[in-house]
Amino acid sequence: MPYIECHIATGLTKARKTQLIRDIVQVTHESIGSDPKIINVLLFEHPADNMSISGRIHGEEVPKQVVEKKARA
Amino acid sequence: MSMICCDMRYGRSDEQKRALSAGLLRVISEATGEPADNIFFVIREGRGINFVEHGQHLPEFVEGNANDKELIARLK
Repeated sequence: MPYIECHIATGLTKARKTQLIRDIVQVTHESIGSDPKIINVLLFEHPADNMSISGRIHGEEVPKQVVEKKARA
Repeated sequence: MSMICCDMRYGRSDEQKRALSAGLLRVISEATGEPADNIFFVIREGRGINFVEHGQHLPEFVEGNANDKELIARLK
């Protein structure tokens, strides 16, 4: 505890993932004081096509429905 | 488009949560190259009993992580 689950797009090298895990453990230790021995990290890699934040589709700038609303106003 | 979840026991301050969020968003943004405000982050809290680590249910969180030291001392 704490358990940090990190869902990212595929593409990082093994070395960069190792560094990211170290960085996650370090900032968690610094911010909430947990001993690194009880900090757990799990990286999940996904094709970017499978991920959507704020209604956006990978590769699309602005979600379509927002654009259509603007056009009608 | 990274999405991050952190499960931890009840008891951390809002200030600690803000520091954790800022830190995680920074290191993930550095690793993936995406802007920090492109990353979704959620903190999920629970009682100590909900966490089993090294074969033991955790005690409730105590400010300053005081009782974690006993747990860590018993680690193999």
